Amino acid sequence: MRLEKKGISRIYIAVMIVSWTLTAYFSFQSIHNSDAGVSTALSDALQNVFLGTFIVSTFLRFKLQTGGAVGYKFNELIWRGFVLGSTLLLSLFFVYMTMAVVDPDKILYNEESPNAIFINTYYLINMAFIIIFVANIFYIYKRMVMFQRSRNLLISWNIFEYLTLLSVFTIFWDIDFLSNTYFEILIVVSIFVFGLSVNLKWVAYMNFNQKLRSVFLMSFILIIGLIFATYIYEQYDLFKHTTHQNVDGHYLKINLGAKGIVLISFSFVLIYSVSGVLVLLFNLPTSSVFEQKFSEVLNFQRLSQSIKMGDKEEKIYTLLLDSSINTVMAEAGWLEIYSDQDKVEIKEIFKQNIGDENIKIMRQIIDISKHHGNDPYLIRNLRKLNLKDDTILYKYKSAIAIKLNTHSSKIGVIYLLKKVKDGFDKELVEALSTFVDQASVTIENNKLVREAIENQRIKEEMKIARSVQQSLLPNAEIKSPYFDLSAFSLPATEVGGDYYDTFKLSDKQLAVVIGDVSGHGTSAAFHMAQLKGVFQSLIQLDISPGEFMRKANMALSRCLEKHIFVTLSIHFINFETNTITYARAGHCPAILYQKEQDQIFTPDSKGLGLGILRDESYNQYIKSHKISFQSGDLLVLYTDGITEMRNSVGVELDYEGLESMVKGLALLSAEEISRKIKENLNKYCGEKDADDDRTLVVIKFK
Amino acid sequence: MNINKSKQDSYLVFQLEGDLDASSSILLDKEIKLALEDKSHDLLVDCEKLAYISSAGLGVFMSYIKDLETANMKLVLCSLSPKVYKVFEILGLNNLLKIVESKADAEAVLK
Repeated sequence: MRLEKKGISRIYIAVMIVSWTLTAYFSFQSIHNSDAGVSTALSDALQNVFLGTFIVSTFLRFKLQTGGAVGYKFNELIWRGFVLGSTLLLSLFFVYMTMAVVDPDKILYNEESPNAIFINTYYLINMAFIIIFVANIFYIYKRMVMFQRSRNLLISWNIFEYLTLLSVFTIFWDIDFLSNTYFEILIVVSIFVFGLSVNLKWVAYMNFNQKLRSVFLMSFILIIGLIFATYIYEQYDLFKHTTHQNVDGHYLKINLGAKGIVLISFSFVLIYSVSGVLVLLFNLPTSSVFEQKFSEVLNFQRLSQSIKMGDKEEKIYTLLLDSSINTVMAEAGWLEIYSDQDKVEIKEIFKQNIGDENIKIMRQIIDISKHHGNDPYLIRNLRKLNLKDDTILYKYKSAIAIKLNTHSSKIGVIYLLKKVKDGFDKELVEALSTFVDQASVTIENNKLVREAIENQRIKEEMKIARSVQQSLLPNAEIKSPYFDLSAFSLPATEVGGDYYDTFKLSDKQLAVVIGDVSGHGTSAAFHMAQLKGVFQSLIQLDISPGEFMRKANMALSRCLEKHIFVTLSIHFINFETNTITYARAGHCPAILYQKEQDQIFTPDSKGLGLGILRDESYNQYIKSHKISFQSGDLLVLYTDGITEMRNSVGVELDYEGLESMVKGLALLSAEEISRKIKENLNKYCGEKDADDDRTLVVIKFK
Repeated sequence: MNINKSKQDSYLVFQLEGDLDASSSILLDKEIKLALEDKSHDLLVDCEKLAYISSAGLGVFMSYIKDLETANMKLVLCSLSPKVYKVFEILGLNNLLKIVESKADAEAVLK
């Protein structure tokens, strides 16, 4: 596309050069004919044709150049216009100096009897530059007019532009635009020009410095334009009254000032320049307000984006304080953020232009606790608060305090101080209030996002913890020639405090342990892991169950917290002698189902839980016991999460409940028994969440 | 759970009412700690209206056994329901703590 544009541009330039040359040629031809007494009608006509071509091609060339996407770079445009105008003016000045050198005595350039060729050449050169100037500025200004255009404006401009271009066809006549004949046209043109000249929306988007710069640049453009306009008219008048062969003759062949296209485009350029300069000037004092509004909007955007970028809390608070101070043009201020827990204690203070001492004083003076409701607390005159110590008030005379509250939390308070009385007007307070509300929501959202991410992370960690703990337990099913074992362990939450384990003491001996750390949850889970360590170490020693418990008590007593104890029950099963040697340290009594008698037998034993007496005094409270079993018997070990399970009406399952379940299922395989008991337990407690860990170990002796 | 405190000559009476679960055990812990700091009194814990005791509750009692011994303070529990007593019994705490049947028995012990 750009190449195309460049190509067409070059064509236009070529046409410009050629048509200018031909204009000059036919102009001289006319002069020659005139001198020779031949009719100049044809040469005049051709001169005008090529003059018109030159003008239109120049206009079209600059229309092409300045066309394209409308951006915000009006500074650049104005600067370009200024540079062009200055360059052309300087060039013409240079030409003038050259002429002064060439013709110092004004022989050729003589008002009374000038050299026609000379003055016309001089005029043609000037004309070219002037046309280039006005065409370029015309289209630069077009872009500025069209900034944020409405559809109507677009239509109006297009009509104006095409009328201007089409007016080139009046080139064959000279128009005295002040005469009555053209008065209506003058009115129409004026309406268009003035109407278009009020489109100065681009002024609002400049900051103070840009506006100032543009004032100067546009003024220069205006001056250059006026110089050129003056030249056009003066030149013509200069050579008007010189007598010649023809009464109506004139030394200058071309009168630009009488050509419609030149008139219209020049008037637009001049009027728009004046309009622009005036509006820029009058907008300088209020410039700060626009810049203020812009920065307010930017701050809003930054603030709401800060949550996406996951900005640190501190950055948001600093931004909030800075922006608030800027918005109301306060001299000092600070932001208090409450701590998460109680929303009354101050966790952090961000301050600007004020020290900690004065903050304490001002906070007491303002006393936000006296102000109920969430609207801003405005103190127009601090003196009126009738204070004992006035010294601080030599500095600050009015203040505002706004609570950072969302509907669900109190985040903090922002205080702003001004050195003048009644320094916070309604508009400022409203703007600030909106801003603070927005910030509060952002802060709250930020917190929620962080919390959600943290919760997600914790959930993941707990999942991992659960699988790690599961791996600490042995296989749920064990089959041997002597017994079948089936077990399950269900923590109330992701991890729990229940423990069971097995250990093959020898070919015909099995150790089974079951335990329960008091409480449940993460803390109990850690102790459960310790319990496993203790079991796995101690079981390698050749000691009795009672001795095991004594040693386990010593080992655990060093690890457990103040209120924590552990219940444990260990069974050494000997398949040669068909006996079980066991010790019960505070744990729920095991259930032995005796097949032959079809009855439940609860092996009795005294035994204190572990971690209650944390020294040797424990040793007397635990001892080993021994019982026998037979083929088909069941040993069921469990934790109190099962017996303490409540149903929908709050009745506990209790020992009897479990015992009868076991009795009812006793003839099934170990696996079926544990599975069915699990099902029954689910049915018993229903949909409720478990409130304790549940573990069951079923051993069926073969 | 409520703890109704009253003072009787040489001992304090804690009357426990309700469920001694994880949250109420913190309350009991605070009260026993206060009583310990006061040193001069023995403690009577009346469990007549105690419906349920959790492992957290047991943990509170067990953690003060040594401290009470050192402070030469007697702790007596009375009027436990069979269910609550069984919990102490299974854990073995009935051999470490003085548990009696009725309040009268408790008063006799503390004289």
